[in-house]
Amino acid sequence: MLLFILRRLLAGLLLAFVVVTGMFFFLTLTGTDPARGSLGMYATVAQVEAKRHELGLDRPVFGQYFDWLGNALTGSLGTSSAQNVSVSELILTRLPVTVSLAVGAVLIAALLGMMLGVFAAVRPGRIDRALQIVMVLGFALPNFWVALILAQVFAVQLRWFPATGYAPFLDSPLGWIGSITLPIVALSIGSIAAIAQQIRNSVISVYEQDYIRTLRSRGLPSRNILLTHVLRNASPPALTMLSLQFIAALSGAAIVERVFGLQGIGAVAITASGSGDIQVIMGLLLFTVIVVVAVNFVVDVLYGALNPKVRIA
Amino acid sequence: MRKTYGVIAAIAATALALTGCGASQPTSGTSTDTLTMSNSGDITSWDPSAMKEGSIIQYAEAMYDPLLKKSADGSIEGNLATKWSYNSDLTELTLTLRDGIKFADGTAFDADAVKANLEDRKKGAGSASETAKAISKVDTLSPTEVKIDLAAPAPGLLAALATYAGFMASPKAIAAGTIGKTPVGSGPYTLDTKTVAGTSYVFNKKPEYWDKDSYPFSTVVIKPMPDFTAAYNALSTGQTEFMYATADMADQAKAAGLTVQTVPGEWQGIILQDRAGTLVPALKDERVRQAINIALDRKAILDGFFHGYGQVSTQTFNPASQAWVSELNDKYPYDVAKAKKLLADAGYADGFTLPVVYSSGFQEPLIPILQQYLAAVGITLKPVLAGSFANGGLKVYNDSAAYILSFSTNIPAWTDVLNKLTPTSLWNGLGYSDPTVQKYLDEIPKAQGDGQAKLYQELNTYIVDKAWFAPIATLQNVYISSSKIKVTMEQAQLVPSLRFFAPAGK
Repeated sequence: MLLFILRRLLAGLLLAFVVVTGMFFFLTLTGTDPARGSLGMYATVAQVEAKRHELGLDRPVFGQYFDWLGNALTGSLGTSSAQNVSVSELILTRLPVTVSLAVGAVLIAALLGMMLGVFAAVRPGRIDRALQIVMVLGFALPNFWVALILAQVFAVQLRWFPATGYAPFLDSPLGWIGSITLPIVALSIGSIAAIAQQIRNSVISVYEQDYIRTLRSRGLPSRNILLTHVLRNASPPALTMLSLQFIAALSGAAIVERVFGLQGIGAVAITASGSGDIQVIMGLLLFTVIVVVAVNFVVDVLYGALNPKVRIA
Repeated sequence: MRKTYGVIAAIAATALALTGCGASQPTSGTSTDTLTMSNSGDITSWDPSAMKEGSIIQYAEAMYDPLLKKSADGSIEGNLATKWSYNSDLTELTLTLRDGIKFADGTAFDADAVKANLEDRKKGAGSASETAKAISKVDTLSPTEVKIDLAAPAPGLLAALATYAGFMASPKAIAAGTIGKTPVGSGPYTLDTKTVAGTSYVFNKKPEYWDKDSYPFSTVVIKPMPDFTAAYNALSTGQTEFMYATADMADQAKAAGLTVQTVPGEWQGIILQDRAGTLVPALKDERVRQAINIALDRKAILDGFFHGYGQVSTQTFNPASQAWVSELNDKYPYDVAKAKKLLADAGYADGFTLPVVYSSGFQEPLIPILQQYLAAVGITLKPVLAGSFANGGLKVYNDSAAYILSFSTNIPAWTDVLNKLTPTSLWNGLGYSDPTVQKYLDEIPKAQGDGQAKLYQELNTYIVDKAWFAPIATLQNVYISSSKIKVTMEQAQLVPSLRFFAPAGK
């Protein structure tokens, strides 16, 4: 098991390295000019050149890359070219918003998706068909559209939730829940549908296995069979789906944050790409890659723990 | 099995209760002492030399006093400088400064501070740098008197000193290089520690401020919100009291009992930049440029695309500026046959292809509309998408034959002249010049009052005759506010200055 974990860890690190390196050179090749982006249209050519020098953009690309990588390894992600703030500070101050949304969305999706999926699987016929339609709809609705509708109905019309803004948990736990509920619902609708669909199919296929039939014939209570045998065997695929949904929620947060006027890292990403703020884009990318690798790693290890066969693969 | 559902139902009920219980708290925490508004921009640097015009002026005004200030109609009044005078050939401006003003760090505001600020503005790349170029030297005559030497008369200077060029920051903070991160000014407010950059900026009024009657709110909160829908939702639920809006929100806002106000803003249309015909030879002929003007049904585009919020226009100056000539708007009525004839006379009976640069976003839907009108007279509009400035967009515009962009209109009109009519103007990328225009550009700065207005109007008339541009409309900027506050509209500024906000009762 230890060897398995080590192997997965190494693979993850290698992947992160390749992605970050590729992105760095890609950004350089696209001709993005953080100096012009930061100074704006009024800056003279001389001012832009001076800024390029200040940012070190006039040095060879490889030198820039190794500097960035060296700094990143020591925890320094540089300074934003468009804002007077360090990249780590910018990401860390905005992170609570996005993490609240993504984690909240995945938890809700796991819970509701599981319930809906199981419900659909154990109630074939009309209820299953109805739930299927709901699931497909949930999957098809773009989350920005859902966000707009939710804001209009539950914030503007009914006034149940604040229309915009984020209340930090430590300032007001209730305010925090109020401020993230609608964005989380908007983000999780698609995930709920995806997980429900996955669970439904797995549960149905597990139910059709011979050993379940054997258990039933022995007169074991249905609830026991469902909770201890069926769900346990049906959940690994859902675990993969859940990890994918977490990553999707991180990226979907950009749009949803905008609709609810939340300043998470999604909002930072939009601003940074507009102004060619390479340091910030790279910082966000590094963060995202680490999260993706970490989530995959955790899923792999859980898989390995659940199923020894995976460890050999 | 039944029990399973019971468990599931209980979990669901808990989840619903959890997500729903934070709901019914009041969303509006505002009082007449606090003004909360959204702003479509965020302040990325507190250094007035780095600030780029637009809606961020409200953040700057909370921290910095300008040397002069603008009244609602665009005329200039004293502020930190109480008096000002030009010499006879308008190349020296002498300012008398208010005594006894201190910056937040205790540094005294005096002639040296003015000199340090103006010299810093010249070095910066913000929107103040354009006007600051005209300043050749700043001399301190006494602690309360400063003389600004100009290389040539600069008609836009006084107005510039009422905004970014004139925002006075502590010379100590400028010298220390910390001004971008930590604002140190003499303005009416201090930045509260409750401020969360990018989310909510909280400003508290200084009790000892010298002009405190001009700022009735004891607290001002500005929330950056780039998304107009989010800003509108915040306003309509009482989270904010003011926003800069889009025209399509006006009817909905009125129906919801909110106050809608407008002020003439940007002009929309096409800049026919290649008047020398180096890239698209057809554009060299003024009949072709006039044909483009006549081919556009401005009224239909204004009503259909811009929701009627504006006036059709053939000119590119602000309606409240000295250069405006109302009659010019009747110059190019929509006439397909006449446009075709002009094109035929110019030798383009079979039409030609016109590449037009545009940026993604709200200009995108305008492209097919323009394409259709131009196609009707035989011109093929070829859309060329420009990236952001960071991705070479500025160069794409500057190297193009024609482009559409939203253009600010200003008081004084000289700012518009500098923006687009001189051979070195940013929006005259191919550096086109014309002896007649140059004559006006030389004469206008030397003139004053009615004489200057007459020259501006002649210049405007000439530009419209020669069809340097194909304007469609001068739009109204739309602002929405709650009934709790009263906002006086300010001409030729994207958002009104903080001084123009007051509680509804006052």
